[in-house]
Amino acid sequence: MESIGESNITIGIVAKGGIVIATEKKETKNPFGENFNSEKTFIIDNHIICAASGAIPDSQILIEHARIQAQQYKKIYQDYIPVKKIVEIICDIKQQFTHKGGQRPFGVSFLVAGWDSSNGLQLFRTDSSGTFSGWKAAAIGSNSIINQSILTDEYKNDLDLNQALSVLVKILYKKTNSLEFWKIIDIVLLVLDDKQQILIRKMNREEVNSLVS
Amino acid sequence: MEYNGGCVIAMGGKNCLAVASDLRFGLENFTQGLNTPKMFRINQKMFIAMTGLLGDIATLKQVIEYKLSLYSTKESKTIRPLILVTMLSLFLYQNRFSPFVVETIVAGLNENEKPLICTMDVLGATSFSSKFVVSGTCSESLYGICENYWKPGMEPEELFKTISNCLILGSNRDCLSGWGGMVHIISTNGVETKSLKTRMD
Repeated sequence: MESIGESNITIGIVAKGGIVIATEKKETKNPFGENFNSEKTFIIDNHIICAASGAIPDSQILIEHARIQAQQYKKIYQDYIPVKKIVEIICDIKQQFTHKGGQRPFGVSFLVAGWDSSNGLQLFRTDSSGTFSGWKAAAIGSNSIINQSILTDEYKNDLDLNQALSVLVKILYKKTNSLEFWKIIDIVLLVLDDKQQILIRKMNREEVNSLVS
Repeated sequence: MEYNGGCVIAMGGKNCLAVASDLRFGLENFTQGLNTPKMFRINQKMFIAMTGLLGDIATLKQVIEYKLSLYSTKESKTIRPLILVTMLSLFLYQNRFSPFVVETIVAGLNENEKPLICTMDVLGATSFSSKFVVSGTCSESLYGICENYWKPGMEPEELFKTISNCLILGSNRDCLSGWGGMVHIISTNGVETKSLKTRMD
């Protein structure tokens, strides 16, 4: 748990038209050019994304399992898996490892964001022990307690996506304090349009920089 | 294989593709449904079409969607037609001793806008063609008909007319196929769907 408290910041906010998740990444020179996919935010299915904070290698096992479970649910029921169910599946595994002898728990927290037809847009936060809870805005990783209290002040009901993005930038700019914002922050949007179609995309360099200015 | 009936054609043109199928759902000689196309869109520019046992067609379609979704979330990209053909061929052979009783056709547009069409038998043996592939209860007559009417370098409009002609001619003489037709034309602009009026017998 302490190790997660020193790892990359991840913040998620539920807005009216979608959910935004921002993750911090290491500033490295990517030999392949700008990465089109977020390093720490993973797509589990077309309607669920998951941002990890902590030991990313630990998270890969859980993400793989979640992906397979999501597809198996879809195969049996011909319907998208509910967000809460995926979170429960991930957390059940995390809990088992706090129980069994000789194995250490998964050192990773998740922010799972998604949409389903029964409960709309949802954001869940999980930790190493396997507890999870639903949030409207959550922060994990380093300075999570401080960031969470800032979110409590700044969050209002009926925020739209742009306002949520500006709240995100406000918090992260304090931490990073750099003009090269796009190099250290990945922002992924899960947008719900009027036809109830979900679009998941990562904001590119220009969009992120325009947020800061 | 002849229990449910049906026929499917896929034809390649100049940077475009067309897939056509009849709409009959039958139980041997009894016609149960008139709205069962045997083609499924799995991607922006890819279709899978199958003839044979309708239950196996439906199951195989769900299996393909499962595998495709896992591929696209893990690899973060859309699958290429050739990769799908390889995956499907392997999967069909895994059921060597209890096969899916279907003959599949994979039709997709590559990144370079060239069409890729391929047919597979029950066990996944692939057969690629640059011209056309057919499958179904009237496949023998369809082979002859398509051979006659297909020519290289057809644009989408001409391709649509040709494939509709071939489907109607082939399914007219076959009592297990017909009862309406549907065509999907895939080109660089997207996918157009058209219904065909055929003899309703």
